[in-house]
Amino acid sequence: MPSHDEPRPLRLERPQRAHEVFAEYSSAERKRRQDSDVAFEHGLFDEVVALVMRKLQRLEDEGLV
Amino acid sequence: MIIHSLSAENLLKYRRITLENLPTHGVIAISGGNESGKSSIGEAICFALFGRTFAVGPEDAQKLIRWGENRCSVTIKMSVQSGARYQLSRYLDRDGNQSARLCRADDPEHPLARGLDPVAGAVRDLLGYDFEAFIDSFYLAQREIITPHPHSQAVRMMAGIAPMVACREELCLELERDQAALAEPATRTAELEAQLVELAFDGQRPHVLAADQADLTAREQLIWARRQALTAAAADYQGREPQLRRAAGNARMAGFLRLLSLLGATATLGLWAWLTQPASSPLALELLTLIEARMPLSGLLYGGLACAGLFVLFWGRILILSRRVRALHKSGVRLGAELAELDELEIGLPEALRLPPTGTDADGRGAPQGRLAPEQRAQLIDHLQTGHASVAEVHSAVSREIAWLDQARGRLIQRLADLKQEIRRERERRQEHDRLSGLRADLQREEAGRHHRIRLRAYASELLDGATRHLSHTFNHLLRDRVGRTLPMFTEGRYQHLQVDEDLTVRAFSNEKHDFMGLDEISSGTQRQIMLALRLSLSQQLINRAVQGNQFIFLDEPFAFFDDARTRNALAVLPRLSDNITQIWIVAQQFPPDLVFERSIECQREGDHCRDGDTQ
Repeated sequence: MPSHDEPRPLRLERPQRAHEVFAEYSSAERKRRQDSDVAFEHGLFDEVVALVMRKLQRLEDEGLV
Repeated sequence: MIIHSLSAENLLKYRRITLENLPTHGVIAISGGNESGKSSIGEAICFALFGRTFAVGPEDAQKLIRWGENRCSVTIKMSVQSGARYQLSRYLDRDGNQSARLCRADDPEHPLARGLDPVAGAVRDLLGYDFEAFIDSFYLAQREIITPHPHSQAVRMMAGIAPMVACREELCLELERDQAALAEPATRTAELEAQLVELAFDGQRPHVLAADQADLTAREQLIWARRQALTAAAADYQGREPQLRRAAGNARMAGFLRLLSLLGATATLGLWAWLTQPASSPLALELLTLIEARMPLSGLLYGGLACAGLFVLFWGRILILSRRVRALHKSGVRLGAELAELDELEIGLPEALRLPPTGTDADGRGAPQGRLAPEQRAQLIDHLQTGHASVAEVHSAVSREIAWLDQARGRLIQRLADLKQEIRRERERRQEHDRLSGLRADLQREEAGRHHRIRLRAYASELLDGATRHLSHTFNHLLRDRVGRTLPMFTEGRYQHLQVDEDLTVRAFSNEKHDFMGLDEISSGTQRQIMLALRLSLSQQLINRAVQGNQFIFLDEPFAFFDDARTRNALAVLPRLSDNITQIWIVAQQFPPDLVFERSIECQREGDHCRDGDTQ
């Protein structure tokens, strides 16, 4: 019998919510753009992130997963 | 969600389905030959939950009614992650009437929801997924061997990108709305610009008009003051002129009398001095005798002294009268000065307000006489300064000057009234200009705000696209890893690794060929095994994302192309693949006879009643 006969069962996990994923992504993207774009507009970027976060949290509060 | 019982009447081939006390863990094996009604059990579950099945849409739901019958019904009892049990019933007749009812299993008299839409919403909330997600995960239909569509709502929900997609759609709608709304302010701004150009308001003009008004008001007041001064000076002169004449006459008379007194004093005193000399001439003696015959010689002395006294008296009188005349002359000088001032006043008047020098008014209406001619004025002033101007002469000249002043002042007052109107109109124009400018500024602010919103939303969409790609990529990795854990169990270790790209295209790595292979290069049995592994991974993801509890899964003939060994292997592995997929419904034509399941349901082609154990 192959050694992988005994499976590791799939378990219940708590997946990241969309707004959490977006927060992580935007944070990494912010650093990347800061390093690559001298004209990077911090204020505009923060405003955009806040807008998306508000909308995502509202959609999630409305039950969209 | 776990199913505890299923009962139905006149559904598909069955007159009745009665499945009670279903096991919550393990395999529920449904077996039977072709057309024995195995898949109908899955369709009954699907219809109970969502009012439709994989094969029959809601618009064709009457097809689910058993041939020859007019109605069908189905009731399912289930429990969700909270442990609460619910009873869901549906009813359908040939006329298309369909009803649904959801209640707690222990309180069937008080439904939680009634009607198709309320029940659909309540079921969606209870289960955590809808029909599309169910079909893409927990329900493997007999004919289905394809992967779910990567852009389906179900896969989006599993990947967790549904809120991002919805958010992006919302942003795009807002973006389109803002872009469409940009046209209106632009048009309105252009209209306002045109109105402002037409208005042609000069911001300096109100100041110029106000300055003109102040200047003309000052001039009007000056003219009025001059008129008052001239009138007063003329009245003063005319009042003093008779006194002046009298004083001058008296002074002349006093001068004459003073001269007489001087002559008298000189003659009398001289005569007296001559007669009183010791060596007088015979004439003197004769004259002395004559005088003394009438009066004493001292009378001459006293008479001379008296004349001298009169001389002094008249001298003083003349001095007093001269002073009075000079004082009276000052009145004339003042009047002359007032008249001379008028020349400067006329020079200071605006061109348009100047009166014609003589005769008629500018509009030729036969206005009063103009001012005196300059030479006449000069002569009058000269007369006034010397006190020779008569009352009549002064009266005539001053009347003309005052008439001229009144006329000039009238023009000024008229001009001031016009100016006041003009200022009022200009104020109204300023208000209109300010109103239009304010509207234009508001529109420009609104336009700038919309541009900013558009920029924000375009930027946000770009970021969301990146985040969605990132999440899809992560999801594909997750799927690949999970499938990689289960796939070897189904394929006896032949396939261990999968590539799952963004459109959910699957390629499997063959351990034998040491290369990735497309599904079309793999046997049907292996394709089915890979899809089964993928389906289980998607199911686990949906459980994680939306269910968060134990869940049933319905697999309709998943082993259709499996050989006996793989079927046995899969049946052994399936109950242990997930901690959460605990109730596994499996449909197969036949199961290995030596295997024992938590529940076995055998379907017979001729039977119309499905119940635990077998159908009859």
